[in-house]
Amino acid sequence: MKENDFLSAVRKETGFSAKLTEQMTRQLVEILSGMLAAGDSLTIHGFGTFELKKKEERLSVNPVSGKRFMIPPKQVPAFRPGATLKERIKNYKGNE
Amino acid sequence: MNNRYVLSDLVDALVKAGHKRRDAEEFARVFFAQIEEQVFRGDTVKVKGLGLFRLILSGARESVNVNTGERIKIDEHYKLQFLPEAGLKELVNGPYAHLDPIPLDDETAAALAAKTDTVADEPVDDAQPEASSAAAAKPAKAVAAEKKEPVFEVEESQPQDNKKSDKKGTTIAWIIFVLLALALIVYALCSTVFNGDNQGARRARPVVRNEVVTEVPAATTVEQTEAAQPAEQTPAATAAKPAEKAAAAQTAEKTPAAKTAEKAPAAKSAEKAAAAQPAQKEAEKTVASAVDASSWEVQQEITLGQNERLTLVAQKYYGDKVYWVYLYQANRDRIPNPNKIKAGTKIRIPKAPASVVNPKDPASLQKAAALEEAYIKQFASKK
Repeated sequence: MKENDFLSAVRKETGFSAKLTEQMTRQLVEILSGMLAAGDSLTIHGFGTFELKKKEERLSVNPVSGKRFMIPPKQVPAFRPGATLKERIKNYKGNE
Repeated sequence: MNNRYVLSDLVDALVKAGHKRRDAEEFARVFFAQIEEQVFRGDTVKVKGLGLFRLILSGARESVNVNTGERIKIDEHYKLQFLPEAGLKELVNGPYAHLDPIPLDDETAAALAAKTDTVADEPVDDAQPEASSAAAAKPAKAVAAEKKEPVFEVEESQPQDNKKSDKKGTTIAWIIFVLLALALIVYALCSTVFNGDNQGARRARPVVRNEVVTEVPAATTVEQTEAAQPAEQTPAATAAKPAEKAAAAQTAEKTPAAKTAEKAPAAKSAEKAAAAQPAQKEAEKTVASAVDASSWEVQQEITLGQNERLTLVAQKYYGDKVYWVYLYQANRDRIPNPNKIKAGTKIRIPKAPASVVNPKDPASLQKAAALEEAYIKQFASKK
């Protein structure tokens, strides 16, 4: 599913114009990424939490050369489903 | 840092961006509800700038009850997967962006694998005890400084230099630092298009950065001299890396002359700096001899944003990314190193004569490619 399909679904629900939907989506994404970049988390009740996860440094081996590498620590954005969503996922038996 | 925002904060931010509160509320609610809906319809939902959401099936597996040790079977179930977009990942990883994987030799690797609890940050270099603690302490203080770190680079010439560092005592480090300052003054005097400080600067760079944080007055001069180049923005944390590595990551100063001078011991750097300068100019002349875009008429100016690259701009304006070399030529005064360009740098887009820039003409492409290679050599670290 392309972003356009998703946006048109949002449009259908809200009744907003395409321009407004697009603009708001961009702004929302920007706000959210700003929060994440600042190390903050955003919890949407009933949906889940967007947060930062810290990955520790680790040793890794290049399978081709067999050379060992120290992979530096990093931060990655993550999403954790909330309780309601988790419950729904648990009961989800596939689309077909 | 570590604020926990909720939906209403998001709505507030949207309102601040100029929307009606009612619209913002409705939109935010529907936005997430729709992600959920579409995902449960079995679709993959992609949102630009954020990433994709989808449900994936996780197969049945066996596990053990951690309390009783009893074997239990976990049935297959669905999981909601969120894959962040590369851009978001990059943005979020700002504080660590300057770190590269470090190749280890077998001994250190084995030693590290053995002591699993405390893994030193920099096992390759023995002159590192305080350095690694600095690295550990890095995230907090690095966050602010790192935000300014240049974000885009010319991908073809990402330098990698992972040679083992020769350790220098603090005394030598100080000498290098002083010599570097001298080299910078020489550089300022000559004010060549390219940064003239070379080998000394390269070796001593991490040290300098160390000072930038710890010692204000000296650091200020250094920074001013180097105003045009991004290197000084790397926080002290970078100094925690092995010297070469840090230098490689910041090849801002690298010139062909640096190559020739490189083998000489670092402490002699000042004289070398002066001596190497003409050589570097010559080298540059040969590079630029074929074409010089800096004399072309300027068509327009653009400001580079985050995640932009010269290659992309070249692709857009000239039809092929290889023509970034001309963009670089035209902006040498603003771009000390095409690998590390500061976000917000204004660059000139010269009007290119069709004889030089023509993506359909293999000869012109080849010419640009040759130039590109020369620049890559010039800025890449030597292996």
